[in-house]
Amino acid sequence: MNKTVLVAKWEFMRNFKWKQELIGYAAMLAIYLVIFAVKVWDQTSQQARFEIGIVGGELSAPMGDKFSLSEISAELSQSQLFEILDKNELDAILKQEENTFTLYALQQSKWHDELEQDLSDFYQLELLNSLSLSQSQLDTLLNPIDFSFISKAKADSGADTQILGLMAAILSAIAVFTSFGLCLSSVTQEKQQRVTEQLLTCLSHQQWVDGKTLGLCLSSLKSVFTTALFSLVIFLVIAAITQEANMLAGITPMLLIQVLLFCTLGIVLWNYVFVGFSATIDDINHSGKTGVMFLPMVPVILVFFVLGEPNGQVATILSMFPLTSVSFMPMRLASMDVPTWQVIVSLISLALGILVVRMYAFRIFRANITLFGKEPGWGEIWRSMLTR
Amino acid sequence: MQVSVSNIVKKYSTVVAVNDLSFDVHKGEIFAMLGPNGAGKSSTIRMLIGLTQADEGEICFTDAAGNSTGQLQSHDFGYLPEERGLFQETSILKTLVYMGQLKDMSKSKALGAAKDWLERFDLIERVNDPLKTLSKGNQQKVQLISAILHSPSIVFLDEPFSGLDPINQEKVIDFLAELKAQGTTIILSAHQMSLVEKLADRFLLMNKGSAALYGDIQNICKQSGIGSSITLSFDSPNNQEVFAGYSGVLATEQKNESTVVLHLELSASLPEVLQKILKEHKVASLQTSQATLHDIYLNSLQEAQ
Repeated sequence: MNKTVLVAKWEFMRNFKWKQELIGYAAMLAIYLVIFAVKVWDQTSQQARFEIGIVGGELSAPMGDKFSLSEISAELSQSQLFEILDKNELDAILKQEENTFTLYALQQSKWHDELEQDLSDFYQLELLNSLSLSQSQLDTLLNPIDFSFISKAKADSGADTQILGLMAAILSAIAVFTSFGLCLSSVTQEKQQRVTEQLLTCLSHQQWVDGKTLGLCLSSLKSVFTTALFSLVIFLVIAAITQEANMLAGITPMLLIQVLLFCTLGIVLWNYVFVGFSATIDDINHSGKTGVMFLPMVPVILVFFVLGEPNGQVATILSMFPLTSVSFMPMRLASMDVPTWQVIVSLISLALGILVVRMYAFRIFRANITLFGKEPGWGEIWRSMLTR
Repeated sequence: MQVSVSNIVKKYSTVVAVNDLSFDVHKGEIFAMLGPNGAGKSSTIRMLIGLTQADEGEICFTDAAGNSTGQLQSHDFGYLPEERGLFQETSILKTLVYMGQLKDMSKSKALGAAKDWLERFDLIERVNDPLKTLSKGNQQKVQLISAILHSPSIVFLDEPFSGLDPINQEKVIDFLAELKAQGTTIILSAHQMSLVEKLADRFLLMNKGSAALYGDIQNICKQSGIGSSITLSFDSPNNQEVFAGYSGVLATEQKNESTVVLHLELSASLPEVLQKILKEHKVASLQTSQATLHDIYLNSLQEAQ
């Protein structure tokens, strides 16, 4: 068997731990359920009706079923107001001085905002009614226009493209971060466990770097796949509950293939960077080089800023630049119809980027994988990159 | 596999690790490289297996068919590095099979060979355990197995006895003798002189990157000039310096205040030296012995200093 394939298989199988992965997803599901249960509990346990005392006001408006208003003496001091509240006779006291309201309560609560909104709506309506407008004029004033947006993708499939774009961005982020962790631990562990010399008597640096990169790439893709599958199940459950069946309608085989292609090539590129740089690190807890390994965080974070602008200048250019296309292009592909020439340019630049990064990663790896004790300085790393 | 090393030099920055070193290793012999820390043994082994390249000089390997090459193929040799290490989290069997496959063995052959060797080293019941669960000595055995699993024609063992208890040291000696009987050429570096003396056919004593002594035990005895040694015990304290000027005495060693060891020159006459000592001193007891590798090694280093 080709040694590169052998190393790739070894690296993949070392991280192929279905049992742990299933336990992880079960734990994640349990956490979701706990969060959901707590939210439901919070909603159902809320008080249905609140007794509010009015001080100094003439408020006589019906405040819906939630708030019951009763007038109390205007001569009470602030401490006397709190004494009343302490006795649990009222949930809150509202002090009115013309259009200024002050709410006294024992502690802050979510329903205070609802009360404020109800009061505001009531006074707005009072004001409008005083203008003697017809019902239709009143409706027009309150809702001057109706506005909605339908993209071509949404028109074709009925899917919410922004959600799909977000999903693609999250999946590519998972791919890059999983790779980061796997590469860093794989290379530094082998250095710390002193396996490097023995392996180098069996295979060349290039075979080792290529095999490791490909094997860990497969491990990352497996994580992406299982996360996507898990998310799909969650989405299907939500869709069944909310009757929003078209949430996933925009996922076509072509979109999946394209996203998978960019994810795969992007992971390969970043894995070469990670594997090369990891060779310069002896101990991840005490290394000054670990910061470089966080470089791919930049495109991963940036993509979330341009989610709503998939066709903007930033998203378009960064989706064709090899170091950022892994994050930007899947998001764009899921959000809109990306012109074919842009997809092709992006693929070509990514392929060329992989070749260049592979060469430099190999040089850094070759110079540093057998060095123990003292980590190389930036100057030494630079020189190793330039050494053929 | 035969090895011929001619005038190799290896420099690391300003440090000369190996300086103009030449030696030959014959097919099927056990060749021991000896020397203090920093003598250049590991650097030499690394150059031999191609982990590093010599700055100057030439290394030539000749196989049984007479074909010569400057670089060994990975399946031709086995290597036990000075700094031991294998995959700690992975099972012993998986690790050995992987290492065997990397040395061009098929999976089934590697599996069979790994099980055979683990059986012989009493580790067969631990095949599925991660390496980290084994004792240091047992980990070393696994490492040794990984070096010879693919039946290489030449094996390089850097400090094979370090970390082993006496029982396991003996096991390794038996194991190496068996490899030699199968025709495997073995190059090893070690500090345990008594073990190496029992085992090796020829020796290379290194100091500061160069060869201090080289050859079989008779040859290096001749080169060192060390012959027999006499251990003298007295009833009262006696100083080694008293014997320093005696004819035929190469070096003296004070064992304790009443015991002195005299190392004789190779040409010295043992009866004549004994006669003179007994005439001039009241000796409680005496013991004569042939020079050991340990004596030669120490003497060689003292001379160099």
